[in-house]
Amino acid sequence: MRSRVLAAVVCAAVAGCGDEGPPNPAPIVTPTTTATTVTTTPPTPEAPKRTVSMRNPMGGPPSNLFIDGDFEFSIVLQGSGPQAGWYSFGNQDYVRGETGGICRSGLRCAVMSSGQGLFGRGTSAKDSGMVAELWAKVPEGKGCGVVSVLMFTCSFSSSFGINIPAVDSMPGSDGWCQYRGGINPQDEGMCVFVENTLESGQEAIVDAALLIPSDGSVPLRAMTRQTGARADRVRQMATIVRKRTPFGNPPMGVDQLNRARR
Amino acid sequence: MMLRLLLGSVAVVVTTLTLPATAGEFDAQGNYLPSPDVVAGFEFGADFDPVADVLDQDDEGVCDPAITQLESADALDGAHHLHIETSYDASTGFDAACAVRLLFQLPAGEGSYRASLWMRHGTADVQINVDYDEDSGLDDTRVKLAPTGRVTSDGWVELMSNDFPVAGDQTEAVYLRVIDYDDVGTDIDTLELVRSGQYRAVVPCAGAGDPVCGAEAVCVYRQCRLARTLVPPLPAESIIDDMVDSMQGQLRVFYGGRKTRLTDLPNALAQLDAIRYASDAWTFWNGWANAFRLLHDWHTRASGPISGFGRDKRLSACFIQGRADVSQAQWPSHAFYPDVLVSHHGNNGNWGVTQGDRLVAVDGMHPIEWALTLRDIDWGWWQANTDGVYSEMLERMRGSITRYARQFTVLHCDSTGGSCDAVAETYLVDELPDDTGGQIRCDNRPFFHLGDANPPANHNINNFFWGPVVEATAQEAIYGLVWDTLYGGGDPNGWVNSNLQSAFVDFKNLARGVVLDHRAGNGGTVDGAETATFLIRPPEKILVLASPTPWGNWDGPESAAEGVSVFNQLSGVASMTAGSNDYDPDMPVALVLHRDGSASDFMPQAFKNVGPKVRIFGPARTAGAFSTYYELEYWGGLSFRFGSGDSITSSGEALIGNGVEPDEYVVQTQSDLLAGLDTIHEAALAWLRTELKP
Repeated sequence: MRSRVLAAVVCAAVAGCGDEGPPNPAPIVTPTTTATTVTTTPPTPEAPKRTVSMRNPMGGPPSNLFIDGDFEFSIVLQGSGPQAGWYSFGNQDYVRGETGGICRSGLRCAVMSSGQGLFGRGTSAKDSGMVAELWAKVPEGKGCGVVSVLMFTCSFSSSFGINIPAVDSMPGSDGWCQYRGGINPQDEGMCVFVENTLESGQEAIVDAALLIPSDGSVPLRAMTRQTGARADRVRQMATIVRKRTPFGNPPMGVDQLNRARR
Repeated sequence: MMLRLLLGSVAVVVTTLTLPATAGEFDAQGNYLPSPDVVAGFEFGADFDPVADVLDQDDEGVCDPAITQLESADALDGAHHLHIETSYDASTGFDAACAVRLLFQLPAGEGSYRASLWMRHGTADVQINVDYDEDSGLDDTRVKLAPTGRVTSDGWVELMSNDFPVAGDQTEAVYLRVIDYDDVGTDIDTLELVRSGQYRAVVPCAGAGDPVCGAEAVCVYRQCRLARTLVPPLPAESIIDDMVDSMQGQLRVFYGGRKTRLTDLPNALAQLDAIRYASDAWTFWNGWANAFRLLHDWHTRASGPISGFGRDKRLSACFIQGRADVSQAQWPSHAFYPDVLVSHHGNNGNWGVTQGDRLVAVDGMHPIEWALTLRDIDWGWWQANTDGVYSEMLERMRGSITRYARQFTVLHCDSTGGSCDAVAETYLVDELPDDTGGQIRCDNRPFFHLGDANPPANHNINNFFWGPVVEATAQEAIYGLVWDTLYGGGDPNGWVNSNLQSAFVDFKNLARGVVLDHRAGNGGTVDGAETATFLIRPPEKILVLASPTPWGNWDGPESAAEGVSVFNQLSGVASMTAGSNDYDPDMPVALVLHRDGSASDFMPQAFKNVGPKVRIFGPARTAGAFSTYYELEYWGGLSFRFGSGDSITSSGEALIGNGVEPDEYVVQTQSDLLAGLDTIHEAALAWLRTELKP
């Protein structure tokens, strides 16, 4: 393993970098002087214009059972259709990206607009329950309930799914909502369906989807049969994904585009 | 146009991160401090002229990339940044010709530079283009920018190139080229060019591995290409281990099936471990790509702009595995690798390499042995999962030769006399005339047999072709179908499924025997593979698709009993049901294969053990690529694709890496080729004649 000495030095100054456990918290200002305990009130430092951090462009963590939980590889050319980690549905046919420190972790994250949903692909832990987690930054003044997170087996053949609830009803001071829940062991791969009830013109940022074998931190719950309009949408998307799953050479992909571009 | 002043005195302000000396930094308040070494670039304020600094290559007026200069408090540097929107049309996608191109000027003379740019919102493909005067004799240079990992809380992401050389006196135009990915657009700010590294001239080389190219360069089309310009920067020490951990973790969780996980995944993980210690960008990123090649999977590869470069030579001839039965005296067969024959050739650009000739050596080695040496550098590498199958390499052989070889040796043979020259001819690739156009497609079919219904002479199998086989009599009524795709897309009435079914209706009405010629089987979707079996068997669920992998870190069933359990578990989830109640039990059907993978593995799998009326003919097993794949896109034009999961039969067998074995191994002979005979087709025909439908 390469020496992490330098990494440790940098990470001591920059919150969140190199953290392969829970998703990185939003970067915070890097102090340039050592914090000192004082008895008098120090002058209030001017709020920094921005903070700077180093992030892993490959996303993570390495054990994630979502193929692209960090949205690092699924923000693709509008109109192209690779076998990516996320698909968009509803009123927008591509996954639009946000960048850098606007995202919870990594370099890229998704922008979800009103009427749009996201279909994320993953697998399951073998013979183990799982913990699912996702973060969404909702518009100011909105509660976490404007975004819903449904985990389900990817084929949706049994129509079973489970809601992953928001940990708190309102976002934290940084604007982010955490959704977290346990799932019983499953016999096939798990996918996630993220929707919203945002008003027209509003957007939420979605990032840091995580699915890992259960660590006992949350109770495991059984999936239940899903009905209604949302279940219909899930079934429709799952059917499209399944029918178009390629077993062979795909149509023109990004590598061909590379060659075509000058 | 801006030429920044040195800001060394400012740069001593305490910074939060230490990056290479020439990169810009941030002060404690988050203000950007430009690099002190900038020799060209923009802060996109007063230094930027939205007319004079924009390269307009669109004389027709069809492109209208929007470039908006915005005054903003959160511009990275100064008070302005650009918002760009490249043209996007929902029906046609992006037109690369309509990219944003911003001109800047580099110093005169030869120099080496590094470029950086900050972007935010959406994503973008960013490169520096150096176009040279036509009479300079220099190739234009393309330089990719990709993330360093440094980001700001307000969304800016730093993109950087590796060092690239510029002959400043001979440039026609040097510009930043940006394509944003969506119809919303992207912000860019602070383009900085700094001097970095030493100028390196493009020098000629002999072929792959020529040491004249030096570090971070590869010999492609006999020019040393500075490969580092087409990959992202070497990751900073602070993130390199995390990046490699992520790469390895993703493969550990999702990659492959039983054979490829147990046999090949460890090799790829070891390769990824090695790049933790890479000291330059090319070693890191080519090592990353090589890890995918080491996964030994038909679907799996890393792709990037290094696969580009215009082909300068053409060899319009196609190669297949064969048996050189008329040239053993001149050149005995290799002890291990099969003989390589010229299947067919184009009418021009073949340089005398014609059907029935034998490719005996490339750079002094057996052609397959030579092709296997290319894995470390060839991002177009394509390999069957099944060990000992070389059809993919041979299909690509002529392209590999013109791209990487110094020379190749051909034993010419005469179709008139059915004999070969006493001495083989060696061609120097560099001495082949330059390419002047298209070339014949390689589909592993030496001949077609459908008369008026034949595919086009250029072998472009972009349709379904069926009709009576010309070698059969009217009484025999043997029909053939030539096609390569199974991409049904889940639509039973779509192009693939409807054509297959139409052909089968005709066969049931008119034929007494059928040759299904699928010798360049590109796979497709499961429904296409299922439909292709409707003629031959009653319905049966023959396998389940444990793909993409249903369980992370799963190495596949460890025993037949576990495999059966998995089959039963997934039976109602994703499976392949072959056959139809409307099949024709009396119809003899010969399936002719040569290079077939994925859904084109599934289909022949369903032809096995059906009964005496169905038989597979081919020179080798199929690719054994019994899975689907994920396809993920990185920055800087890099993408990667890897197989995930396996297919499990009702008896519990995991199929990855176990290509379908022909019922009758038939290899094209050189003598037949010279006599105008398609050995595999002839074998199929001979068998059909013994089994004709009453």
